[in-house]
Amino acid sequence: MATDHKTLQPLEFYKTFLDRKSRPDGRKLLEFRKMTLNAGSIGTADGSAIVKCGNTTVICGIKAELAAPEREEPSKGFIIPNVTLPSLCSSQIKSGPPGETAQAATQFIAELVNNNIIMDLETLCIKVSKWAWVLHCDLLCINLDGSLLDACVMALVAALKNLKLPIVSYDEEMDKLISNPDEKMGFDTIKQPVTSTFSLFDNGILISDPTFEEEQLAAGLTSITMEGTSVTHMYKPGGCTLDEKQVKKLIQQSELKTKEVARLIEEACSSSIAER
Amino acid sequence: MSGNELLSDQGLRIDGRKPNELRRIRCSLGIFSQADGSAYLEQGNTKVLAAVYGPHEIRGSKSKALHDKAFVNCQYSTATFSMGERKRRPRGDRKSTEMSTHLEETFAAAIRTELYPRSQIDIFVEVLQADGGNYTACVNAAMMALVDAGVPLKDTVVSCTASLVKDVPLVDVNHVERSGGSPELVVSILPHSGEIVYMSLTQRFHIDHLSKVLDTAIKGCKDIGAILNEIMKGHLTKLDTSLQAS
Repeated sequence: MATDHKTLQPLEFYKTFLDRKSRPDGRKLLEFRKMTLNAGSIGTADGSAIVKCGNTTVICGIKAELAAPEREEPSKGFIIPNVTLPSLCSSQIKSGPPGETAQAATQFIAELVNNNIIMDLETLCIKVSKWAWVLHCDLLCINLDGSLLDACVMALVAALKNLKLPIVSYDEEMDKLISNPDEKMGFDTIKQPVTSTFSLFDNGILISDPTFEEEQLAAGLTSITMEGTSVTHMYKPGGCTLDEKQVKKLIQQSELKTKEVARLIEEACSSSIAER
Repeated sequence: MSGNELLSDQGLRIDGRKPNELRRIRCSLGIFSQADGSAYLEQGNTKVLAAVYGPHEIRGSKSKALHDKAFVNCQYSTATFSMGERKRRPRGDRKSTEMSTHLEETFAAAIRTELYPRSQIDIFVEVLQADGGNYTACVNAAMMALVDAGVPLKDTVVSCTASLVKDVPLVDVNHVERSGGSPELVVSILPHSGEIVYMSLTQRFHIDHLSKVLDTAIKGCKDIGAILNEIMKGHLTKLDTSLQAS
């Protein structure tokens, strides 16, 4: 009976839950799903992390290369994010060139990178206008069940914290790079932004960490990125409107999640260092 | 050719295995909520994910529909960070397309496609970490995902590689052995009937050696088949008890 109702009138079905301030998966309206994080599980990558937010699973693998910095910004390295949604992650994703969702997510991460929200790109520079690190950060979603951006940002930050690169120095006289592959270094300048996604329904109800189904039914989505107690990025791609009071409430909720994620990343990174 | 180093005087391989020793296999089933069937498989340091969708209606061009059996669609893809060098294209290059075609042909032989005319079965495999034997790991993972999805099979399919160094056949070749210039024979079999569904050989060796290398590969397949069978049974018993409990 319940499944019939769900297939025939998904929105009505969902609203009966919302009226009772609960959700079909048993969560409260502003409750997040359980998150797990594992860093350094892929040996072939220079840095890696696997994040699970509920069912949504994202793997981030970082491969580093050396290149000359851009002429306009000679003291900056590069972080090149790329979000891939292979067709194995959901039955809704068609194989072929990257779809809208993947491109929008890539653009979102690129924006965080370009605004120095993730790390100061100048720390990736080895020799001004000669050599800098290029970090290819490939984010692979292997199970898509809503709140993709949250998982992507978390995976990226954890993988960057897990990143170990050979120490490379520039020799002026010989005009070449010297590296010692046995000595590795990490970057300690990585910031810790946390993205929280919320779904909005037209009667002013807000829910946090929506599943794929909830994202489809909702009238709008908002993603708030915070670092500690400050808001660093906000993203609201259209849909229904928000008032000031609601925004404040969302920021409050994001703050809670930020603390939880910071703890998880700390835990995962310290345990992966202990293993080395 | 570093044939001498690949097999030490004590008869041990570069990673310390005996010539007839497989790498450790770990596998878990039903790991995704979205897919109809899924599996994660580790063969040594090679790590592979597989997901199965279907049987469902034909997607895309309807001309692919076969009137008397299901159309098996496979996609082989390697993560950009899975190898030593960053891979530029995870799928769509010539090698991946070739692998996809091989997978399609292998599974078209094993799945009882005649039960689902005019429909499609999707098998997606993703190599997360590559350390030799990628194709075999993909076949084994995809087979486990098909079992998890409950797709009727004529027989399980298992795949294994074998090589020849200093006239000694080696089973389950890793990346170092493969790139060390030794030949690689890839075999996929249906273990119960013993039929070979796929076989390919790179590099040459004398035909006199073929039978013993092939025997090694088939033995490897059967050993892997036995391990996967145990994992499958374990998973199904767990499923059964949880069903009875609820």
